Amino acid sequence: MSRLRYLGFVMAIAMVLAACAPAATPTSAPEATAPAGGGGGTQAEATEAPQAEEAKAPIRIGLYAPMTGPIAFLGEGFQLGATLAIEDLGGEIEGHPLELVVADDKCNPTDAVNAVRKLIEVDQVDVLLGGGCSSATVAALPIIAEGETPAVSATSTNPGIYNEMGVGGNIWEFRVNPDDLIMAAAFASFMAEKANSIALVAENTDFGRGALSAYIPQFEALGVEVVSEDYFDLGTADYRPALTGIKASAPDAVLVVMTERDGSTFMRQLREVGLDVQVFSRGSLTSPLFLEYTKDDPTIGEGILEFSFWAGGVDPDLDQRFLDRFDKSNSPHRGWAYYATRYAIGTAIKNAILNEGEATREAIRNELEKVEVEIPFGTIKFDDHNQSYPKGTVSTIEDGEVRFVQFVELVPVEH
Amino acid sequence: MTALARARPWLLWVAGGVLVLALPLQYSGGYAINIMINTLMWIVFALSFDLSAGHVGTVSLGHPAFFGIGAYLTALLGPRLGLGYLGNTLLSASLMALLALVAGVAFFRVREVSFAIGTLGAVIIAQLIANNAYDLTGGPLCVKGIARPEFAIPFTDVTLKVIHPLQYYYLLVPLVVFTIVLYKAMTSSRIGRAFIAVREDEVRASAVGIRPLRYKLLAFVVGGGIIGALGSFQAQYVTVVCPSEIALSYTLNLLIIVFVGGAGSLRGVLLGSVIFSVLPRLLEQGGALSIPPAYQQVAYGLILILVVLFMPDGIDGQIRRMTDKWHRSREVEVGEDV
Amino acid sequence: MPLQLEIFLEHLLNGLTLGALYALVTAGLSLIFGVVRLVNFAHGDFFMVGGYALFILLNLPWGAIPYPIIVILVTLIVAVFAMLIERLMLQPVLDKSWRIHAVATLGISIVLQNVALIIFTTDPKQVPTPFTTKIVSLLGLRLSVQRIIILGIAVLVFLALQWFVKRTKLGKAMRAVSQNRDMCQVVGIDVPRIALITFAISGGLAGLAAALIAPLLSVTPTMGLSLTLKGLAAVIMGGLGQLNGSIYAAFILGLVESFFAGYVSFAFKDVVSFGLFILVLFLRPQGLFGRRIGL
Repeated sequence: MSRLRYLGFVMAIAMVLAACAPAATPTSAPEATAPAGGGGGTQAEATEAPQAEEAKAPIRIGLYAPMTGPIAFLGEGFQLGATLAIEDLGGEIEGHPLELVVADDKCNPTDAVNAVRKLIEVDQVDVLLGGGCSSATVAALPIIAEGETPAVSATSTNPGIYNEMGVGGNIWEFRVNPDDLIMAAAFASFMAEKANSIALVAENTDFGRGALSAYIPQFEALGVEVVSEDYFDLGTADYRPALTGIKASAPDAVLVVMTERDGSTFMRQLREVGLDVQVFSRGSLTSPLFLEYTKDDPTIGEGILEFSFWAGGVDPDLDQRFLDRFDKSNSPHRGWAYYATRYAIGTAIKNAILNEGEATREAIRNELEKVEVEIPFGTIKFDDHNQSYPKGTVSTIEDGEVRFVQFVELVPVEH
Repeated sequence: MTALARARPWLLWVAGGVLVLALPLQYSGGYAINIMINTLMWIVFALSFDLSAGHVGTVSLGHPAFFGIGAYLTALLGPRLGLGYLGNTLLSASLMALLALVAGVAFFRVREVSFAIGTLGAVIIAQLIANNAYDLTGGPLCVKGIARPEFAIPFTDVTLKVIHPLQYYYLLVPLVVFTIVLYKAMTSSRIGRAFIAVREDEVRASAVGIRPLRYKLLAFVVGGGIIGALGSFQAQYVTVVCPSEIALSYTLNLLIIVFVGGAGSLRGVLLGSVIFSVLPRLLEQGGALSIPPAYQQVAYGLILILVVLFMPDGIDGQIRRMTDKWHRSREVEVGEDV
Repeated sequence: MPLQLEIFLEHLLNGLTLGALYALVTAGLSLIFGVVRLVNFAHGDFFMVGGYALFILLNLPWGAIPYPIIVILVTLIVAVFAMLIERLMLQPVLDKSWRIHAVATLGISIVLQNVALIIFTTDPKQVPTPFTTKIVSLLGLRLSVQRIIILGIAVLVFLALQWFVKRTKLGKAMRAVSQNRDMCQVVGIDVPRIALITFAISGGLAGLAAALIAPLLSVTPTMGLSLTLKGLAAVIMGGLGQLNGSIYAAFILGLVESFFAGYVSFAFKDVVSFGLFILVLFLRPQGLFGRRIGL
């Protein structure tokens, strides 16, 4: 009798799950984090388009990014950006419907290898977008070369990737965003103007570690004293011990390398401790999303100077598109997934069809090499290392709103 | 009739062996073979875990440490020592067996819950060090570019470089066979009976002359060594080693495999491993049944709870109960015949 | 140097807040282990459930409820939640071995975390109260009023817990069950009821901790795991099943972590706290404050 009760309970849970599940699985890809209809939209266009004209083979874009785990928000951002880009392309290129296939790389190498293999071999994608994290991208590089599938990375800032791409050996991998070395070379002198001593804090990930290891030698060269260097695991709840320590060493400024998620908690506690210094950030602390996280006290982000390759307000139309379409704010990952999909991948596919008759993997790769397209953040155009140099951005938060300050030219540097 | 009945287990093993060797040849792509490699790896991992957890009753939640540290050893020492695949694997295996010995001597001072949580603490420390000892491990930037195994073919100048998943698959098979044979040999002998005696009641076991510590250590060290070798394989297969290889989620997976399959049973653990690694992929392949990962995890959790509540001996226990019933009814018939 | 002293006091304060968090979580774990001999790997997830309950209550569409009432509500919600979990999933296995307990509660933990992930996504939810951003200066220290509330209530709760376990009839019954379960059954104490009440108190403590402390942090589906681990370490350090010992141990962990993070290295603070735990495990397996039995 009592067993019946348990069964009833388990059934209840199962039913709740079943009730949620269909909404979350409209396409073949895991869509758990997509807004209702988000993935469905591309699917619908994918099936309608062939009826309109003579059935043309669909072109598949494979996205590998973390869809689960502590940084699933990143994969969600990629998915939103790519989905919106495909919609803005009209769901098709030259009559070929576009499909987005998503695989979860969990932001670790093992799963990235799995995910990319699956996209290349099972889903037969024509071009890849990703990964969400540098470590995933790095692990995927050999699989991408072996699978001879063109791939575009939109936010992996690890400098090591530069040496492998293009003339470095892997002709299939392209990167639209600048890496940390390129950015540190341009930004460090801006920071040195405002601070003689600096405390460094970063998330303990490939992103945080990679960025700081690019900045430290720059600061040394510029004579800026680095008073401390702290790394925080993702999801750290209590930063106060470190903040108190930084307060004790009284630097002129703090450089924060974190995304808005952890960064908002960090900044909250920084204000509580009363650490009254200039805050530089390299992540996304001046994004609309950051403001959303700190909306109960808009002064938390006041005066942060963010050095990045994306800033809210530079492309107000797209910022508004994200709000209208998904009711979500634009962010670096969302924005760049959009640009990479719409302009780099979209242009290459189109030219492949026009110039070579068919968007084969090889044709798309050849056309990626020749892409030259303007976006609000400069030009997407690849050098012999398949590296593109958009503009660096400086932005801040003023009176509770994101303000774009200026562009900074980014140039090739010794890797 | 009786000869066939006696031979049947052997036939099963031979059939299974042929299947394991021939199955990957059906697939050309790396993805399917990759799933098979993962399955084999879980078999090795789970059997090594079950040796302690299922037979001796010492549930160490720290087993992923052997895997991750074994992988890091290959990644960091491999290029410096230039040992090649076999050397790397043996080095990881022997050092992890040694670590298991030291850790065992230390941790077996405490029992049951304290032991489980103590080993959990140890694996967290190992992960934190991997993540933060930047100069040693590269932290979250991982150790990259680990050499792929190479074998010089005797009497020729040809060296075979292992690249394709299919080659890796056959490279892994010997470790799987070794693990299964060792597991079977240990658990179905006098040692196995001593294991069970320790699990059921340590005091009574000591009373009949079985030294609990000795058997606990034996299972722990053998398991640690095998997992160390597996970690080394992983490093040379994926060619990248990251702190996430020392993950607590591996412990959860091991518990799911072993307890759902059937703790302390070879058949149970094999079934558990295969179901755990193949079923979700098959559902994914089905397309329509693609389950978002979070839902998958909820399903795993519910299955774990249901198994604990309703089939405490796992799937294997259920099978055994069914076959026992069948045998009993047959025995009656046979008896009448005679 | 006054600045040095100030910094020291600030680390002390951080450590005490962290200790209070660990202690509220640990007390619940320790009670459950003491009374029903169950290691609850899902205990930190009770805290997480409390965090989301707080999030919902703070964002009700029909206007705000006063914070003190919210605190009481969250405490009650998690207490009831813990009772449900006990009745539906754990009661049938309470007399089984600890291995079964571990697997069952780990299963519950996986389910809770991922259901939270499905409902709330991985986006951290901010749950600030009116007191979070109200900052006062005290002896040159800047601290949020929320922190003062946490420390005050934590002390009150621990005193109340002492009184409850030592003086009330129910508390005495719990102690009796923890010491000899079979005997209790013989003399007519309703052991399953005691177990249920213990879960309610344990869950309530986790809920209270969430209502008080989550406003300083943020709420995520996976936040419970590290709390469970710290709590378990403190429970063992204090001596399995000894309520007071584990509360002291929780404060020791909080302080050690804070001072080490502040003066030596933030990244390695958990290495030190878990290292300390393992050291205690080796040197004093019966716990720092070791007597053999008792609550």
